[in-house]
Amino acid sequence: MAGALNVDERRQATGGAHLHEHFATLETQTHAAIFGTWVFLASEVLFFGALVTLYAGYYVADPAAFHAAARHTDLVLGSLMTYLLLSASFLVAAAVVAIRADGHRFAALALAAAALIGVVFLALKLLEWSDHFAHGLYPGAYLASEQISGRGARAFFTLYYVMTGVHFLHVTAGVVVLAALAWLTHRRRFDAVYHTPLEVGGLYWHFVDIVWLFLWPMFYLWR
Amino acid sequence: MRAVVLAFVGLLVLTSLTLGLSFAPLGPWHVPVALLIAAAKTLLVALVFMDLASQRAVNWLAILVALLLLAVFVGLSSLDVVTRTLFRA
Repeated sequence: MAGALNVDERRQATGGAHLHEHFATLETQTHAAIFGTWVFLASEVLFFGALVTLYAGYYVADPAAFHAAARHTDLVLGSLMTYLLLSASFLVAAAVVAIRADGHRFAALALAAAALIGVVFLALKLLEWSDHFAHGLYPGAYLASEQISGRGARAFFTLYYVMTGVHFLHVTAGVVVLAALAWLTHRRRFDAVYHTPLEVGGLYWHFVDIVWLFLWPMFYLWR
Repeated sequence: MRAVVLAFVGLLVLTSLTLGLSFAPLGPWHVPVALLIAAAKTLLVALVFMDLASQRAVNWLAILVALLLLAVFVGLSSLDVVTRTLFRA
């Protein structure tokens, strides 16, 4: 057709080098990436959901035991970790807002700070577990505490280590992603027109934060 | 940016509220109250930080389906455990 735009003109109009061949426009490509990420997060919801189902099942079987066991986790550390993750999520969200207005410097700094907070979270978690071990609070059949024992307590602590452990791995992956994004942002790879990897990474990080928002009451707040 | 800052402040307030309420004499209400506030915080993170409020409806679909399935899994599994003593055959 004589009046149609050729490929180069189309690319010019819709995002330059960032547009891949099989997408009509940059907007479609971005939507595909974001939607795909939401589908991935939905699968992660079910992944953690399986563990939540286990927790719910054991909880209703013996609520008193769970409440008793929850007294032995460190409320101060757990709460601090909640505030830390929320702060990191705020920084990531702020970075995305900034890059939409071409604010590379702020975005890169915010992402780096969020990654750093993630590292602090991981360090606190390891500290916490080693403190538990010092008090004989091991997972499963190895629970050897002077203060609590029984099936409910064992179920609680097994779930505690599995769920916070899996969450720990997710936070580690998130920290790596944020650090990489911080570096790329610093190198001016993203701008107002194209910053999809930043949005995708941000979505993942916020999901990891949301998981912790539920782990916190489940393992620290009952008494 | 203002929405993000306000959401963050809201999250800090809700977290502190949860913490404070965990010391209050709520009896059996501790669990649903804490989980409800956690759900509210999740909504804030999802709508503002994750930008779900300004995204297409189909993105909502993925999460809603997952949550629906989760409700079924958690609900029915818990129902099984809770009714074991009630309806011992």
